[in-house]
Amino acid sequence: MPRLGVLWCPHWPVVVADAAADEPVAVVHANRVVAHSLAAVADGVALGQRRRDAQSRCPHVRIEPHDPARDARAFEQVVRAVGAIVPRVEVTEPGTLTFVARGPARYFGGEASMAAKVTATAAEAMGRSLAAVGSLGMGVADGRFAAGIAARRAAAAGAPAVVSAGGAATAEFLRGLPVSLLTEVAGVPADFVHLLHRLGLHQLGALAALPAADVTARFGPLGAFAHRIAAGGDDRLPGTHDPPSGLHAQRVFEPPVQHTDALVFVARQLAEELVGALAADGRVCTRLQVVAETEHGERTERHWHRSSGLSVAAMVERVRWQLDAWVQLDDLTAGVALLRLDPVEVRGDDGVQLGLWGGRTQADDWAVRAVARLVALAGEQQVLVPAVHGGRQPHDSHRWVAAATADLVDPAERLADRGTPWPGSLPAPSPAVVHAPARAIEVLDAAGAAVAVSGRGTVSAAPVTVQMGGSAEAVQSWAGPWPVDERWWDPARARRTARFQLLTRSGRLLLVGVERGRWWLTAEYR
Amino acid sequence: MAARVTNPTQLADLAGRGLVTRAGSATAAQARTLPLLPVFAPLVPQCAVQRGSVVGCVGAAAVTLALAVAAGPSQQGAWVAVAGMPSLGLAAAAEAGVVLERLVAVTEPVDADGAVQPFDDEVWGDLLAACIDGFDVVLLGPGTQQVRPATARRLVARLQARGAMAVTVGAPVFGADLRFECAAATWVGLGDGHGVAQARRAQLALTGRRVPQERRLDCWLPAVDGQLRACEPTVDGMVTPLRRTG
Repeated sequence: MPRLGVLWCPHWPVVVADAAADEPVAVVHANRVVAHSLAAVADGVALGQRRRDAQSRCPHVRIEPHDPARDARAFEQVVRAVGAIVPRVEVTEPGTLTFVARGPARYFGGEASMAAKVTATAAEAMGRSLAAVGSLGMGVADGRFAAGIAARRAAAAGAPAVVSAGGAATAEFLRGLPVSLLTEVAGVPADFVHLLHRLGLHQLGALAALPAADVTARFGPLGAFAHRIAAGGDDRLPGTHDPPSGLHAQRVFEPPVQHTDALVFVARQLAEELVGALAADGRVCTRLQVVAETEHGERTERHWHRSSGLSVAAMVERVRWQLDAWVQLDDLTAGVALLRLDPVEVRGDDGVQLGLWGGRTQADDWAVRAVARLVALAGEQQVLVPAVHGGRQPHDSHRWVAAATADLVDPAERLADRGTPWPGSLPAPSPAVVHAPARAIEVLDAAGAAVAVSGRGTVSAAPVTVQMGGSAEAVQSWAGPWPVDERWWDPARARRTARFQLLTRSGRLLLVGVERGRWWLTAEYR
Repeated sequence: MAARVTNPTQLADLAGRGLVTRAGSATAAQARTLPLLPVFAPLVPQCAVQRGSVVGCVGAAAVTLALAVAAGPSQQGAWVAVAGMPSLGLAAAAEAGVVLERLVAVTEPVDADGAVQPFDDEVWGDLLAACIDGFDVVLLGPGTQQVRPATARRLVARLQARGAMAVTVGAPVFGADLRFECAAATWVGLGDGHGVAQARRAQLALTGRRVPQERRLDCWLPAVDGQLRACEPTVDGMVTPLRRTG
């Protein structure tokens, strides 16, 4: 098993947000805290907390949105600094990098001194913001899992951690550690770890002590994997090997390409080609090398790793990160002439089956692709998907949100019915045409005077005529007023309106509202 | 080049050897059609629309009708794209049966004053082509009326090649293979100062290229319980307007 060094920066997004040493900062994704500074922890901010809870615990916390692309671009500085003294650095994710420890350890005179040297180099590249999250962790151990844990312990201890070589020493190191590290470091699904807890297996040693055959029989490939790494075994899945020689996807550009977007577009085609070729043999790429070269020989080369396998989207994302950082940090003198994706490590695909019922279908894949194309053609704000919002008015209950930022494949979050009743909302059927913003109209009584609604909700006279955009229609029947007094506690957003349904003699059913003496057409039942 | 088959027994022989599949087989027909909601069963044979068709919806309840047509494929896993219909009511779409998880809209930009800046013919052409390539059902609203007839013909050809379905509301430029017309719609439940609209009774008429004779159907769009269904033959004032009591 290879001897690996892992350099891990805790809460990397906070470092990217340029936090001062004593500044409380929280990085938020989908309204949940995903990273925070030490000063925020002191005030009670925690991972997974809701944004509002974090703000109530620590009112002066600076909230930053989560942007993986920005994190990856900023991490390139660190990768370059470390890459100057250590060969073949591989980025696992922004904030974590991995390299083979054997060569550098010999060069720097031992693993401990090598770890100290790498930590110092990386800390220098990160600059002052590192103080906001504590210190860097550098771990050296057999295999990715043990080295990753060693790095996390090193960050907490403030000094590099080196686990002695050999399976027995690794197993001894892991024995007393909690099983939750399987999720945190190795990416094992959280519900599997919960199941282990319910079975009374709280430590990695307890899992490792079980017979491997029984664990496999009970939990399948996932259990076998967890058992193997908990026992200090190889964390590469069985069947991991070098790909067949000559399997790569590359494109030579003639003339050279100047725009990153165009390159990313080509990268998608290359990734599809590569994933398709590997999938035909039932394999998936776990480690990918991305190479790009300009016409003048400037070159970028990075290794990317993902233990669960790199899908097309994951490959494209990594190419984009790498190209963005390259373009930003180097003054390129020419357009890009070559882009190549090289699978460095592949393994047998343990099979994520497309759902027969309810799962992802081919139509879903096509739709996701079509949405990306539409966004490229029309712009982000022009391609929308529905989201449940909640409210009494037709334009409040559901909203359109930008498809580019929404989760298309798993829309449960945006379309979850909050289950909250909205007293005063109109019963079904709902209007099929909703005018937002509402259109100004006139509603008149038999005498030709505007119909008014008093503060107590009584109507001055029955509506007889409705004037919309120059044309007048006679009202056949009507109902209302249904008053609604919303957000009266907030003067800026307070709305007090009375709603009516008007059925005109031509058969049109309108939903209208009167607000401060002005009538508005809010929706139509067409 | 295959030899021409002149003798019917020869053809049966080929079919027996699995070389020719009967065009009328049920599975093949299913692959070439998109299912509709059961409410349309009395109007449309097999309750399904051929892929590549343009379905036009006109009249009083046109938008609800279009949503109901799109709902059938949507419930079977198809994605629905809405183009040029920025004011579509999402609650109504969900009530008609469209699955919101698989709904995407393309809208024209609105400037700071709230005025819509319409896409021109070329932009709509590209956008709708992308919609047709990616989605099984494309709902074309009044905004897409901007396209020129030549572009519309090109898009319909693409629709047929790709096997998607277009449903139009207020966009006659795309023509229609099937045309649902709602001649009259009466609302039930609304009184004179009391009640609330609860149900709509619509008289539908279906005409079209492959429909030799106009077919008619009285149906609820929707009924009091929210369902879309055909009216029972004997219907009289089923819903009494609510009376004001206080």
